[in-house]
Amino acid sequence: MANQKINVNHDLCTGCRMCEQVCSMNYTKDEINPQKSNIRVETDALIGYDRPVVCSQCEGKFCMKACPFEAIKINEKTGAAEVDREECTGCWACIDACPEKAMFKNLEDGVAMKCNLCGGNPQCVKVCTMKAITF
Amino acid sequence: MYGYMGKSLTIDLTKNQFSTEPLDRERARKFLGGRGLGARALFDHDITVDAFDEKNPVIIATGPLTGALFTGSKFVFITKSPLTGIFNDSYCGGSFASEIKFAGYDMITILGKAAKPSYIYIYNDKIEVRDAGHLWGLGSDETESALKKELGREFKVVTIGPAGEKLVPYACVSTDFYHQAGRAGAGAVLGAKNIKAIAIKGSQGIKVAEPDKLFSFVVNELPVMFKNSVFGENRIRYGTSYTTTSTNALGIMPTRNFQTGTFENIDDINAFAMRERIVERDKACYGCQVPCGKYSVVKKGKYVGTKVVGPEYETIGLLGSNCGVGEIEAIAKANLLCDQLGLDTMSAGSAIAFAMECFERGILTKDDVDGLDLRFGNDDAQMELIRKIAFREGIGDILAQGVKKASEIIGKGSEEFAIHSKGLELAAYDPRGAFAMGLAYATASRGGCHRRAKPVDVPGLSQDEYSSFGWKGNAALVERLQDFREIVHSALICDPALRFGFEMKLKGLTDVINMVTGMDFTFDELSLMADRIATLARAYNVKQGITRKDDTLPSRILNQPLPEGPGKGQIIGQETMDRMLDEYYELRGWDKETGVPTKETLERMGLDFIEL
Repeated sequence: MANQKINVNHDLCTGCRMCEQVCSMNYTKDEINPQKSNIRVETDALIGYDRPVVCSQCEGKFCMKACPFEAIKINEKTGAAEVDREECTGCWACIDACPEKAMFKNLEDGVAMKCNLCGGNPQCVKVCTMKAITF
Repeated sequence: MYGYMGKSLTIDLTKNQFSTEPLDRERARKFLGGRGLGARALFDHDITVDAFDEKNPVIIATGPLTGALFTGSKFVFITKSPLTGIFNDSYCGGSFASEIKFAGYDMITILGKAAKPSYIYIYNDKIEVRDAGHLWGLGSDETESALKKELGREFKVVTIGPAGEKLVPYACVSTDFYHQAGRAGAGAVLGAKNIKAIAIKGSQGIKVAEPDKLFSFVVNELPVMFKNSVFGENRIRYGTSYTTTSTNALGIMPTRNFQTGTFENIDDINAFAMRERIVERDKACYGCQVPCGKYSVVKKGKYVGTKVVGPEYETIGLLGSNCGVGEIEAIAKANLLCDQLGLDTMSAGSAIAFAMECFERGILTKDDVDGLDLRFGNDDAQMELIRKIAFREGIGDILAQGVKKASEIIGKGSEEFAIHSKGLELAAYDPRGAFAMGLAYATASRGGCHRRAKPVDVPGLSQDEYSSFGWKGNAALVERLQDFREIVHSALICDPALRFGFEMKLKGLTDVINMVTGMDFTFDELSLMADRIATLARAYNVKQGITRKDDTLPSRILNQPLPEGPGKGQIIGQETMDRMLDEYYELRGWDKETGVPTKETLERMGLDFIEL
């Protein structure tokens, strides 16, 4: 099943970053750390601007094409592109290639990060009060 | 160590030295964090010095729950207040609180005084006191913009405005442009230390004791609790401005310097006017599912283009109805001006209302007020006065000292209507229509504050349990509400989010604290801790000379009735006040004659290091 993705309506985003907290905890299993979240809220507090940045699982799959190590693979169940942490070398070619700027560096482990739809059951959308992100 | 980062940072500005100490586990067990641990830490320093003395520390504290998935993270500035001369804990939302923890600290203590205007730079273990010559004199907003441009947008920044530099005793600290640690002058204490701003960034994670349980609670249970709450719904739609609807109906909306509690132009400043006319976007603090912040833009009239998050209820009450200003657009502008100049909107609003009453009564003439037409409702004069207060020009220099000192300077009977308790201007609830609120103001540890207990129109409580126009039940209610907040302010999360969003009580909170810290607190232990922290703050104040005689209300509020509304004709009076105080001291274990915690109480609470 292709084209499953997190839908974003940034007009509704409050900038609470609960999605970042929940994502990082789900990704790391034991840590709340926005720097290890696969979704990031871009914020400009002065003008009240907030926008969740998260992979749209685009058709182009630029990250996959850019990866010299075939470390980004499609999950057959969800259609999501996922980073294989064993294969990833941290060369960041995918991050440069992503037109949405929706891939991030996990500096501690030296691997690239992106939304993997939590294997088909995304957790971030459950804590989004205003439904700025939905699945 | 779960929930905590396990480390606190001390910055000595005089010596330009930094040091870190591991978190004292025994203390954490007794005082939790935030208000509790911060108040305890104050006692490590000389608590007899003046607020502006370089030995008076500014303690910036978080708690174990701050940024740890649970709702609404806050941080607190704890220091001696230059406005009141007593304990001050001033809280702030936004996204700075969690960043302190990501940088690896539970608490930051700032001591001494920098040789020249400076800002503090913190990036994990890298700490520097840097020159702020280029920032001195700038508005809070301009300073934050400049620092984010210099350092990167991912830095979180707190700043003071010109009012903090000029040591206005109710200067605030701002962060994320529109969030303030507003009350009782933490901004002025930073100003006295030559600190214009603190910029912080971190990359460390917060670990919790029971990640699976907490995760499941926050992801699966909280959203349901929250969805079923009417209070949560109103809070999201209208923010704190929703309070206007109940306070005006109860006749306790401060109007023209608390001369009445019903405002004739309420429809132009209430929650509905605000939502319809200026609100553009709902905004939340870091990690909060109740976005009560309202990003507002003025769309018409002379203040067109004004952009501000707010105004909050207290600002609407004190800069609005209390000054007779009946346009939400004008209040938004006054709010922004205070934010930019670094003034507490509440004390500023109260000081201006006080000056307006003096003017209308002929106590202050046009010559006394630099030619301004200070009649109630004149928003142009209000804007000018805000500026004059921040820069301490002319009449502004007198009003900058707060209504207590200003009334002492002006005299001529103005003390009667200087609306404060212990020197802190009252919040926007007139206790004459809710007597328990009078006790809350009189006993709050920082003076006339509504944030330690707000026994007004308490959801789920009937008049059998407390009295709006009497004393029965009020002491127990105030003590209980204060105790809940002692823990919330020490865990350090946002209490309105809890109350309005989740109807959560101390029992439920105990579970969450345990999921995060793994410290297996019992409900009784936290109840005793709440009492302990209340008594600790009281002990600090007793050391500043506070006794029972100071636990009081301004003469107008205590001795005169409201002229209209549900509270019409009701007088609180000294007798009612005394009965509430007697009962309150008894519940707290403080001496009834003096209001001083007894030796047995200090011992029972493990506070025997204090001698009173």
